[in-house]
Amino acid sequence: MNIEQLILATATFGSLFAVMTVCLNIQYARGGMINFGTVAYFAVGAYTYAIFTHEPPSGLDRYVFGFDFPWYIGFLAAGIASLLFAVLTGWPTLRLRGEYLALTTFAFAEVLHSVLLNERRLGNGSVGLSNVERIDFTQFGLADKYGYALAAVLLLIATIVLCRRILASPYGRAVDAIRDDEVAAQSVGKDVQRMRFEVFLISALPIGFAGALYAMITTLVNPMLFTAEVTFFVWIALVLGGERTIKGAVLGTIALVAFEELIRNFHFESVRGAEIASSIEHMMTGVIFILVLRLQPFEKIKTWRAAQ
Amino acid sequence: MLLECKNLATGYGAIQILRDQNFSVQEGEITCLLGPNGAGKSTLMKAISGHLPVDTGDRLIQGKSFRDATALEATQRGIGYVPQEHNVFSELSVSDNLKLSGLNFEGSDARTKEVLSRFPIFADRASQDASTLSGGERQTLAIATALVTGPKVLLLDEPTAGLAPKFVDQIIDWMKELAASGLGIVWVVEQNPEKILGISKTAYTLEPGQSAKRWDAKTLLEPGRLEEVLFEANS
Repeated sequence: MNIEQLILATATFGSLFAVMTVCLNIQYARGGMINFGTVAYFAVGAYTYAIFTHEPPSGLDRYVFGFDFPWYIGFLAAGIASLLFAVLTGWPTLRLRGEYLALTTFAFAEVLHSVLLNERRLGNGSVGLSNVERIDFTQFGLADKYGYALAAVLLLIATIVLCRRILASPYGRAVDAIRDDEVAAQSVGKDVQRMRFEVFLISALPIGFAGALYAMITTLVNPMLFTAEVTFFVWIALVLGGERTIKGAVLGTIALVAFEELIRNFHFESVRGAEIASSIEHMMTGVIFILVLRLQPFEKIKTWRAAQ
Repeated sequence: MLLECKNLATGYGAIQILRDQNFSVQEGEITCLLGPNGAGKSTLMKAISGHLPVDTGDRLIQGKSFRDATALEATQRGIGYVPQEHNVFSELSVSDNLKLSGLNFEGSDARTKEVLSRFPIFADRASQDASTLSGGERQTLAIATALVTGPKVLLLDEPTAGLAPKFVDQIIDWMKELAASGLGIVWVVEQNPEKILGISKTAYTLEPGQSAKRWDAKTLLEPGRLEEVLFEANS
């Protein structure tokens, strides 16, 4: 097992997915919105980055758009596209509550996945776009693997700072109030619909950036990378870490990614062995998830701390 | 006229609960609303405050219609509503309850200070969750959160229900002072009707499926009159 590789992969992917978990934490635990389409905003960020930085099509290429912009334009465009996608999906859906909102956001993500899979002119269909433009960290005297880990951690820190500032402000109190009681919030003149929408938009922006960084790291965007599994991974991480705190959201995601990377880092003698390990990894994640839900260790720690 | 409802009809979806309701509130007066359970008192409050749509008729504040206003717009036009339930944010602190209620409302800081000076208990418990307050304290906080938005009319839906006499008297004294300062108050009454009628100028009685009847509050305080009217409404 390569410890350095394990730490770097956990830091890189843990931070990227933690950006999504922190944003989901704002949407769900603070704004009271169940978004089962998180992966869509991530995919929009990744695809936008790839399309904006990819070379124009030539020869047998089936995709139509490739603007060959530098990475920073693509990165900015990724955030903006994710935001616009949130406008498109949030505006008609945010009047819905609970499971209705969950199902609608899930449907939006599935529609997007289906479009990406079947529409070759947009992102080359099921083949996807490869050789995605990357930042060359060596020009800053940093090996790429460290550079991307650092970039992911910095994006996570920026997201946490943004979310903390919002939640600590009077606006954050109003967001909490809406989750707590919508009727009471309306009674004291708070625009519930508008605030829910704003929270939805704010949290989509970092997810778009995370998608762009993910595309740079993997150098590939492909519909199979953006399935509902990503959404549920982020939800599990949120529940594992405790849904009300940013710290919990981050720790839950890092722990889950570390666990996955640990399994991935084992050297298997055969393909069959690797397949069994992969299945065990999924089963173990499920078992841990059920145990955390049943035993609620974080709630117990919180109660114990409060009693001290 | 501060607040007026003209032939107002409202309900929940296709079910119309109230129709042809005429109701008015003067500046600086307390108006109480009496009636049996299920008569539609809370529904009328919800319709005035924008929590229910107006099906037909109109509602006006200072002569201007706000018929199609949402709850948010009604609050911005000066309607303060304290529902019977769902009136404080139980997971937020006392201080946060007051601060966020005043958010985006001009002069809310001064009004919050006024509330805190009147009820020092809120200053002492500023960081405590609203869920830890007693029933009377919660109700007082609920009224306070509505007041920091600077309303012209305050709609109170049974604010003293289930409260200890100490709190009832405290709220009555407070409302008398607020009315004296020019605020129009609508008080939905179930308990202690005599006490509230004693400080009210006008009273309305509401019967299921009928229009509200207007009374001089003092006439309902005549011996046996209130029972007679409420019994009539119940029968």
